[in-house]
Amino acid sequence: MLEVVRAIIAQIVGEEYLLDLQIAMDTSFEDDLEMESIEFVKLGARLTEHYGGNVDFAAFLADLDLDQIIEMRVGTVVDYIVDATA
Amino acid sequence: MSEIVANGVRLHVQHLNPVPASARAKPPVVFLHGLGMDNMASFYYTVAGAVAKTGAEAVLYDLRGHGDSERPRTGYTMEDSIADLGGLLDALDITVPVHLIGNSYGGTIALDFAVEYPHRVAGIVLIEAHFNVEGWAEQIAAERERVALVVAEMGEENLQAWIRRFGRKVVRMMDALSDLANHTSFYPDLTKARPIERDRLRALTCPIRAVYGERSDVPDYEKQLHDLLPHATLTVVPEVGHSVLMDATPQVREIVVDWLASQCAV
Repeated sequence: MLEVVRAIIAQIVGEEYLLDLQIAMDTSFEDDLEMESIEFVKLGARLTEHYGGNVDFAAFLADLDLDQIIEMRVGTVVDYIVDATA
Repeated sequence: MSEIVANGVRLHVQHLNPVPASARAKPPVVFLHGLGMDNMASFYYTVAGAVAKTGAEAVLYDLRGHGDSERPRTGYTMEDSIADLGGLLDALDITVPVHLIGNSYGGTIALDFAVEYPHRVAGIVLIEAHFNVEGWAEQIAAERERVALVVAEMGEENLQAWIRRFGRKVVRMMDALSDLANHTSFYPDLTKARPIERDRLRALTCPIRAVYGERSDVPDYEKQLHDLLPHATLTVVPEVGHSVLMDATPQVREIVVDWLASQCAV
């Protein structure tokens, strides 16, 4: 699952940019990947396309506050997908 | 479906809980973000998820020149903004009236759209909205002038060097903003905004909910609301300013969700 999330992040930010970066569960979207907020929105939409409607990013974010979204790590998204597709 | 061509421009759209036109019973909720650095993420991160969780159909899009939408060289007048919105609703086959939730300039678009197409708007939530009345274009021009002075003082090269000390995210945001501000008709178009006649705003009958920060920098908003939209219900959120959506997210979220629920109950 981490591999799928990694591949989708690569589509969005560009494989070239990721060359020097390892994406692991504790990789931060903000500090490590330096993703723009709009890229994070696109990540959510592509995950829904890939996994189906049970992966509902907007609903996932609805329960979080802004700081939690900004500080989010890749692992949090992977865990959410595991839960949502169980 | 996240890219839609509307009014000849490719727009980045997120359509939550889409409903087929034939089965659409409730007004869809359309989110309109602000100008410049803003894009749909400010609503996606804050209010849209909570609205979608109630089961409501919700549409978020990046205005032209913003976020992941196309950044054409021209077409940034208010007339273009409302034509884009109308074109998007047409493209999504939304013919019923919608609720418009607008932040800052997004609220200005909501009001202009409602004045032009009252039959397409069921209700409006204004968050820190500006009013496109006489004097507004001059305020934008003055703001543009202030920014230009700061840039001139710093020197374009120094500014670029300073921006490049930051990471990928800031560089990308600033490059996009710089292209929009300096290489499109964005500012010239905004500063020639044709004000709406006050009586046309006063004639709006749809329900309006307004949210402003106690330290808002929108000039005279209370006076304008009182004069132009006396039936609007206003909440002033203490201790925050123009970025009330980001700085007081839980309150704004609750106000929007409760207001939408009250509209459905009518």
